[in-house]
Amino acid sequence: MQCEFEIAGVDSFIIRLGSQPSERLIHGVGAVAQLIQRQFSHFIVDVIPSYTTVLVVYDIRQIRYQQLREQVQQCLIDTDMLSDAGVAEKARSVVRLPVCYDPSVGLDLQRLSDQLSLPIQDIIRRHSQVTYQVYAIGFSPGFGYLGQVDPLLQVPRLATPRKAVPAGSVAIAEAYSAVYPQQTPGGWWIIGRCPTPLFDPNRDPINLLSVGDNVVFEPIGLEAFHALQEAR
Amino acid sequence: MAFRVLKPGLLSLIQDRGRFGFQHQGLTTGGVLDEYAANWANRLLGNDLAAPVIEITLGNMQLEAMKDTVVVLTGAVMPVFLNDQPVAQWQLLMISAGDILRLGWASSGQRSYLAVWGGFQVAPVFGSVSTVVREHVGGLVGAAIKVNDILPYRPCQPFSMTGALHHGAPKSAIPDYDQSIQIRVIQGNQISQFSAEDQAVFFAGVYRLTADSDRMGYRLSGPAIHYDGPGLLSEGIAYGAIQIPPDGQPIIMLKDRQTIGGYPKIGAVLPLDAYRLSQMKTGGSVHFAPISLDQAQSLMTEFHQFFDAPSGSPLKTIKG
Repeated sequence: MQCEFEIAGVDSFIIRLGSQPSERLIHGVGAVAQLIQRQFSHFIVDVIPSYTTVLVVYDIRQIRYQQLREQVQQCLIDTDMLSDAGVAEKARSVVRLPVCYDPSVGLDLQRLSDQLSLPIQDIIRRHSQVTYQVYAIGFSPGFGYLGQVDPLLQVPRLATPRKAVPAGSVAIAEAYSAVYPQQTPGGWWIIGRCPTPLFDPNRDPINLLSVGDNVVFEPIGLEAFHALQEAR
Repeated sequence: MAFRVLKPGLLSLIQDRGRFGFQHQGLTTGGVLDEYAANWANRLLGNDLAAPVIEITLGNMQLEAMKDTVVVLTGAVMPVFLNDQPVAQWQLLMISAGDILRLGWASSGQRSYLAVWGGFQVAPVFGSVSTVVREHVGGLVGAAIKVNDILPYRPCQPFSMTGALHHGAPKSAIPDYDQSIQIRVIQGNQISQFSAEDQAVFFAGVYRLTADSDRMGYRLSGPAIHYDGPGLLSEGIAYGAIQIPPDGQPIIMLKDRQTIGGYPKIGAVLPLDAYRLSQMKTGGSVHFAPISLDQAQSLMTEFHQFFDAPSGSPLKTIKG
C-alpha cells in the first residue's frame, strides 16, 4: 500500500493508502484505522476510515502533527501493516446478515426486475452470492457502503428518492449495497429487508459493521423474517 | 430544580463540546457552534467547560425558574429581561424560584449560550448530551427544546451575592459580531489540485454568507473556484473543512457536518475563526487568509490554555 500523509485541519490529517478502492485495499484501510485507534488511543479523538483513506483527529493538547505523524509512520512499519503480506495476515470478521427478499419488503424488486429484464430469482441469487466488504460508514449512524455489487445489478439511484425508507431495508445503487439502519430518506433501490438491527445504541458493539469487514447476505423466507423480527 | 420552557425559540438545543469517538460509526460530533462564547459562559460560573449549556439560535426564548440558581448568557446580542427588568449578558445573573427569564430576538450574532451553575443535568448519549436533530441523538429526546420541556439543574444553596454581583467577562473579551471577519485557512489536502489562479481568487475574494447555512455547514457566495482534478471518493471530513462543490461556492463544514464526503477541499478554517463565523448572519462578509499549521496549533493551544486555567469565578467554591 502507498502511504501519504496530508494535513486536513488544525487537529487532523488524512492517510491516503491508495487511489482505487479494492477488496484488498479496504481490508488494509480498516486494519490501519483499528491499529491507530488501539496504539494511540491517548492522543486520538476520532479515526474515520473510508474507501482509500483514514482521517485521524488528534488532541493537540497532547501532541503536535509532526511528532504524531512520525510515530504513526513508524508504527505502520513496525507492524508490517503496509505490505501485502501484512494486510493479508490480519484476521477479519465475516458479518452474516439474514435478508428476506419477499416483494412485500423488497419494495423495488419488481421494477428492478422490469428495468434489468432479469427475473427476481436471478436478482436475489446475484445479490446474495457475493461476499461484500464494508468500504465506508456514513450518511447516517451505522450506514455501511458494501461493495461491490454484481455488475449486472448496478443501477443508478432512483430518480425520486423516498422520504422514508423503512429501517432494515436492504438496498442497492451503483456498485454498492447497504442496509438502512434507521428510517431515513433514501434514493437506493430496496430489494429486501434484514431483521437484524445493525445499529443499536444499547448493544455492544453498537454497530455490527466496521470498515474492512466482510459481509454476507443469507436469504430467508417471509415466515423466518417475521419470526426473527418478533424475537427482537 | 429546573427551568420550565415557556417559549422555546426557533432552535434551542442542549449542547456540550461534542460527541467524540463515534465518527467511524457515522455519528457526527455535534457540539456548541461557538466554543468561545460557550466556554465563557461556563467559565464565569466556575463550571467544568464540558458542562451542558443551551445553544439558542436568534433568541426569542422564555424560561421559568423552579428553584434558585445562577446563570450566564453569552454570545449573540439580544434584549434580556429577568421579570421584565433588563439584565446584562456575559455576567452572572442571580435567579430565584419563580423568576421568568425572557430573551428577545438577536440584534447581532446568531447563537447565544445559556449556562447554569453546575451545568444542565441531562443524561449523555454516546458520551455527550449534544443534540443532533438529524440523527435524533442527544438532548432530552434527540430533538430541539420544545414548549413545556423541563431543563434540570443542580440544587444551589442560597449564597451571598457580594463579590459575585458584578462578575462578568471584560469588555475586551466580548466580540463585535457585526464586523466583517478574516478567516484563517490551514492549507491542506487537495489544495494543490486547485490552480494557482484559483487559489489567488479564493484568497483575494470577498464572500458572503448565504441563507442556506445551518449547523452542518455555512455556504458562502462569491468568486467561484474551479476544481479540475479527478473525481474523489468519500473521505473523512475535518471540522472547518472548506469544501468546493461543482458550483465553485465554498461550504465551511461545522459541528453537525456529515462524517464523510467526496467534495474537494481547499483547506480548513482555524477553529477560532469558525466559532466567530458561526455567529455571522446571512449577508455578512468574510475574506480568507492562509495560516501555517504551526501558527494555527499555537493559537488553539493558547485558546485551550486560557479556558483550562482557573477561572477565578466567585462561584467556584460554592457547594451545591
